[in-house]
Order: sequence, then structure tokens, then C-alpha cells
Amino acid sequence: MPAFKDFFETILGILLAFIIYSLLSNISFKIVLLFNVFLVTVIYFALKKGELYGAFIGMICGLIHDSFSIEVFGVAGISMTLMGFLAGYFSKKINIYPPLRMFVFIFLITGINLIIWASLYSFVFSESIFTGGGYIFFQPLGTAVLGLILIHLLIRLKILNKY
Amino acid sequence: MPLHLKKNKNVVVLVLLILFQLILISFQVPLGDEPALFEKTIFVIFSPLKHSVHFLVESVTTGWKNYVSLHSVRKENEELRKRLFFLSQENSLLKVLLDKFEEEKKIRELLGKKYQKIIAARVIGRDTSNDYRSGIINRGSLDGVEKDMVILDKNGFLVGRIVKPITFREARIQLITDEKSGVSVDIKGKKVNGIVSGNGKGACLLKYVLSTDTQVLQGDKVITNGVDGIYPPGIELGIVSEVRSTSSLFKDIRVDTLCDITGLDHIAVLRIKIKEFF
Repeated sequence: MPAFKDFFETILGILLAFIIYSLLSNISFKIVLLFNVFLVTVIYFALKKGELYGAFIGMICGLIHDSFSIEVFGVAGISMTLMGFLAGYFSKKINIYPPLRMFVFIFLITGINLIIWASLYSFVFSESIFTGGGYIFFQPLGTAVLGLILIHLLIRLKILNKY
Repeated sequence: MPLHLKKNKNVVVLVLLILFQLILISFQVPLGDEPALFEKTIFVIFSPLKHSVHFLVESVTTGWKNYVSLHSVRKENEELRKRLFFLSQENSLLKVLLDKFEEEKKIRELLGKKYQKIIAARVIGRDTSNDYRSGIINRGSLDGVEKDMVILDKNGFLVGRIVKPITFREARIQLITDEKSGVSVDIKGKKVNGIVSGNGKGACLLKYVLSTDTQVLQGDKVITNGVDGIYPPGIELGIVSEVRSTSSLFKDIRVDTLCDITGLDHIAVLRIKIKEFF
């Protein structure tokens, strides 16, 4: 029953991301700005199942992110859909599994996601994004560290295959 | 399927996914502040999970605090016993005075009514894009929460209002620090009024006060006046922290909120309709 297993794993992954996000937001909103847990989930599924699945999970995670924000629905969805696709596509072309490459890869994906999200947000709502005192600019770094640790942990546990 | 589409199947699907979301965005324009059906659905599915995580964190934190505070409980207990003794004395004296009061029954009825018109709630989540825009509370339609009900903090200062979506046990609140919010206000004790909206960075701006006006000063208290039809009159909102004259028609007035927006936890939802005030 591989299809059921995949479905179950996807639901579990999204729920886990949401629970971690909720836990972090209970501690401080600034921590939420530092770590984009949803994007780590998107990258994980993109690496595991390819660009299409990555794009689909990106859309789901982005829309969940949007539904807990007032008046913004679809903006994070678009940026994460694109990132899911890009992460899946490039992971097929380049070996991104060595730690340093993985770090740079997640750093770049998060950075590009931030740029697309901020641009779309400013375009749609005619206002600049909330930077949380500059914390948001450290999101690529924070997410890259978190993603590197989590994805390598999943490889160690043989949940994610390297190649 | 044509051959060129088959070759680029992945790109076609990506474009379709993005198109779907662009349609979702464009649907929100005619809906105004009403959330899209899809957004409502996701909110309904995930908000109970957020509620549970908050409950879990709260239980662990409270458990730990209780454990730590056990060490000082004995000393505190002795002090509380002393205080209880004096308070009991004071209470019995007050009861005697109250019994003598002719309107006692009326007061009790009035207090009872007011108490029923408040729903105690807690903030269980904050806006994912901007902490100062909205939040989620642990009360919903089953608790009697409705759109546009007014939110106050534990000290009675204005926090915001209820907006949609509202689920059975959760609801979204719009904070007064949101750039899209608008509260009709007066300067307490002066004949000056305007609209307060958030600056999206934790403070508010008092708009539409003419540059020629000389009455508004730093330290003035800002209160609601009820003209907007949502917020009842007389609720304290903030204090004027900066007044700047500009070359435009209106002054730049910054208002610092009286409620602690970042530290919001226990709040009160007012079930009183604004009509009851006029």
C-alpha cells in the first residue's frame, strides 16, 4: 500500500510542521520569523518525491500559513509552490546532500522564497512586509540550520534516502 | 494531450497550481473582509490543532511553575492567612454597609447583567505574517462569539474586534495595531476627534486631525467615541506620544496603545451591542 503510506506520511509531515510552528509561536513570534518550518517540510518532500510533489506540498503549506494571517490568502502559497518545484528540480540535477551544499541549498531556497513572498505581498497589498525588528532577514540562516539538522536526521533514520 | 504539453507536463501542472492561487487572491477582492471559503476550511481544520498545542504548552508551563512555586508556598500561605483574616473583617463590614444601602438589589442585578456580557478568553495564536495584525482566541460561536464584538485586555483597554472566520471554539481577532483597522476616537476632555488605525509596527496613528488644530498634545488620552458603530464610546485606547505638523492638511499623530499588544494573553470579549450605549 505505497500510496496510503505516502498519503499518511504527507499528512503527518504537514501536521508536524504545523505543531512545531504553533509551539514556536507560543514561545515568541520572533522565533517564528527565524525558522520557516513549513518551508523545511516543502523541501523535504521535494527532495523525496520530486518537483511536482514539492510544488503541491508547497501550495498546501503556503495556504495553511496564509489562513492564519488576516487578509493574506494565496501569497505564501504561490511562493512556496514555486520553491517546492525549484527544490525538487535542482535536487535532481545537483547532488545537494553533502552538509555544506545542503546548507547553501536551503539558504538559497529560503532567501528566494522570502524575496518572492515580500514582492508579492507588497504588490498585492501595497505595503511593506513586517520585519519583526530585522529578525526576518535571518530567516534563510535559521531555516538552513534547522533544515540541515532535520533532513540529515531523517537520512540517518533512513526515512529519507540520499539518492 | 499534445506532445509539447506532455514533455512539459510538470511545468504545466506548476502553472495550473499558481493560477489556482492567483484566482484565490482575486476572489478576495469582492469579498472584502469576508474570508474565502477555502481559507475558512483550512482555518476550521487547523485551528483546533493550534488550540490543543496551546493547551499542551500551557499545561506543561503551569505544571513547571507550580512545581517551582511549591518552595515558597509555606511562607506565602502564612502571609495569605494573615491577609485573609483582615479581608474577612473588611468583608463583613462592607456587607453591613451594603445591606443598609437602599439600591442594593439594583446593584446586584446590574453587576449580574454586566458579568453575563463578558466572555473571558485567551489568545492562542498570532498572525503568521505580522504579529501586530491579528490573533486567534480560544472562544468561538458556541461560546456566543460573533463578528464585530469588541475585545478588551485584562485592564479594560481596547485591543480590537472579532473578525471572520469564527469556528465553534476559535475566532480571529483584528488588533487595533493592524494597518487596516479603524477606530473612531476622541481626545479625552477635548473637542477633537479622528480615526485611529495601526501602523503595523505595534503603535497607532491618529488620522484626520487638521494641521491648524492646536489642542492635541503629547500625553493626551485617546478614547473611543462610538461613531464607527462597532466600538462602544468611552473605552480607553492609548496615549498620544508624538505630534508633528506637516505640510499636508492633517497632522502626524502617533498613539501608543495602553494594552500590551505583544504580551496579550487573557482578554475579555464584550457581548454588549453598541446600540445599548445610545
